[in-house]
Amino acid sequence: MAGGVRGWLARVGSYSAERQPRAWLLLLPALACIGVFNVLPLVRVFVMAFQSGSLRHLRFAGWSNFVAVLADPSFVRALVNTGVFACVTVPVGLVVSLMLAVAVDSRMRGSRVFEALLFVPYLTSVVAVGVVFRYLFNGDFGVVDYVLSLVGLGPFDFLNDPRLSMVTLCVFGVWLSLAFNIVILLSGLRAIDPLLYRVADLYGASAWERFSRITLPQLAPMITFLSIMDLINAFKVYTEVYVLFNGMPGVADSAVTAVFYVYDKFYVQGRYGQGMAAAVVLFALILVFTLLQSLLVRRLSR
Amino acid sequence: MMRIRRTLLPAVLAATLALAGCGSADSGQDTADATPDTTINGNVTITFWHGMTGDQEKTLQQITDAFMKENPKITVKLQNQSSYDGLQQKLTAAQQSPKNLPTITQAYSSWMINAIDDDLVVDQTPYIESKDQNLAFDNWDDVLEGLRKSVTLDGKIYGMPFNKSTEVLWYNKDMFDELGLKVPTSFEELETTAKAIHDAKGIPGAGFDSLQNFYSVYLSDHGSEFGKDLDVTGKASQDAFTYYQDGVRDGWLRTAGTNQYMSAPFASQKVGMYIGSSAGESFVKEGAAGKFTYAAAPEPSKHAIQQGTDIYMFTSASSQQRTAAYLYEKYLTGKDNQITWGVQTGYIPIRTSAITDSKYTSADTAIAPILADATRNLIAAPIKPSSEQATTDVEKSLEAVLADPNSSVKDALAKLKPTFESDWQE
Repeated sequence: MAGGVRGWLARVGSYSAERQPRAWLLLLPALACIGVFNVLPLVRVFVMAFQSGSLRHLRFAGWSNFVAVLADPSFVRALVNTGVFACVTVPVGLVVSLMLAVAVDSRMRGSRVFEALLFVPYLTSVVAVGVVFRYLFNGDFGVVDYVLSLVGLGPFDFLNDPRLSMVTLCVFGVWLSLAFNIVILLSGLRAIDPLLYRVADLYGASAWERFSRITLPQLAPMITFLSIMDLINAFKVYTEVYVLFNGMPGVADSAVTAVFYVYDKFYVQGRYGQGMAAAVVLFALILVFTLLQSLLVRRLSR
Repeated sequence: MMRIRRTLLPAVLAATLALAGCGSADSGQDTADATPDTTINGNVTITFWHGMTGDQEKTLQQITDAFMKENPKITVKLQNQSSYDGLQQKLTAAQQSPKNLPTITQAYSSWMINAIDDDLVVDQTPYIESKDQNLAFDNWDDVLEGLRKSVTLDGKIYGMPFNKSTEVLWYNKDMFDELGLKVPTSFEELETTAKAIHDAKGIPGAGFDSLQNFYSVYLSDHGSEFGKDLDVTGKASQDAFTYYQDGVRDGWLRTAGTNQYMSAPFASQKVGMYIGSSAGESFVKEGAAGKFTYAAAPEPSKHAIQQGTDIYMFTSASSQQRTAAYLYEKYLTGKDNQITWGVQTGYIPIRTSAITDSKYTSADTAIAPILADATRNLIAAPIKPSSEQATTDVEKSLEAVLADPNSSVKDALAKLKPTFESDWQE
């Protein structure tokens, strides 16, 4: 930010696109759209968080919505579940997709085919995948349960046992994050100068050294980008829960997440203010985490 | 960077406020007079939002077409909102600018509480009780009592019962014959029968589609009632939780879990009988085909739940539209149409005269012959703000108790009590 201000000061007096009235005119349609579809709803969320009553007769309610929501054990569980989901799926998803990307990138036979196959899940809708996962995880005739029983584990009821709901959801989340991660990482891998590896070979570097000294540092910007994107997406997890548990937040609310809670309060329970208060809390949390993360990343990349 | 912010922010704020102003300034309210129009003078178009698909939608279209033929001045536009979730979401959104609301909609009473508070829903009592021949409902008392209660709030009739169902006992007739079992008629008999199936077959004998319905019916059967004044730590409530928990622990009862409906495990013969919607026959039929014969019986309890949607009318409609919509509702709920509707969709006809008519009782369904019996004591969830929240909280609590069959029911209910009480407060 400081650099930006200095740069701006340096440009004072010279040409600046921001000061051209015509530029604003040209930007107007875009700004209007952003105002109506992004800024306005956001403002309303903040306003409604302090209101209660029915949609036509909202009245000021002070902090009562926040008090009610924060005192609701279900909301606390939703936040904890969301946190667990983000902390598990983001790192695990990144590690697994990095391994797969490196494997596909190495000159193994048919790597193009694998690359295409690994990208297909990204093109498939989450809902369709969810239906398939419901079959795989089924407690009566699911494949996963069957395979586990071969090694003497189980039986597990992944979808109906509240203790397993989050495990099931995290596995699903990791799987879903793979496709996009792999594509981005592959493009990063291909951009690494092959000369670096050749020099490393000349000096007799081991495979691990090549990976940790060349590949990983070179991929750092990609990994940073992906971790931020994945984290934000993980905080917004909703569809995954809905499709995996057939519209329920798991048996006994075991897999309720923050966005699920917001939706449920607003559209199902008709407690608009409380739903919006929960949304504001979630917004603040995502903001804090994203800021922390970008701070951390800047520290690390220095 | 700074510069942009400083000039942009006020502009955006101004735009926002202006827009917010437009949003709340509109009001298409109460253009109609207090006394209903008795005749349709010119051409009128009414819209009807619904969430029905398949056979239900086809039957609705067929009855609607017949109505328009008889009333050439009225055009009814059926607008499918894809699903009940989609319908609920759209209704909530449209309430912010009522001129976007349809003339009538299919809705659960619990969805309409806020709208009724906001004077968005037409009180249909003056139409139903009108002295005018053209308007008056031919016999309001012919509508099942439980259904009438479910649309009446403070003495005003806000909805017309329509897609209504009750719960019945679906059972595997072959299995019952093989084991020489009688169809249970009470919670006690349900227990012995389910245990017998469990002992003989090693599968749970029974299950309930909806834990909430189980809870409400159990309470009503044991002298209590689900509602604001219920003491969830009381005896009836404890017994209800314990009954189901014992069953799950000892293996003779099960839940639907994330399947949400028991028809799938019933079809794969993983349960001998279940209590579920009377409108579920098509699923049961399809599942049992070629494997076993199924049959239906009234729910094994003194009371039975009534559930499903009604038709509500919005105040954004003009007086002509209101009258047209009311005439359409009256047509849909007429005796003959109710018989057609009931036979083709599996929903219960809302009129006693239709349910007991031989055209209905002799129809080729498992439900028709037993329906008069099954609907004798219908109970409904109270239409009160927050009943939805209270329902969800009870269900969650019961699910948690069943997921851990050795947990203490007393502790769970003690924990539920403050939540349940605060649910009714807002």
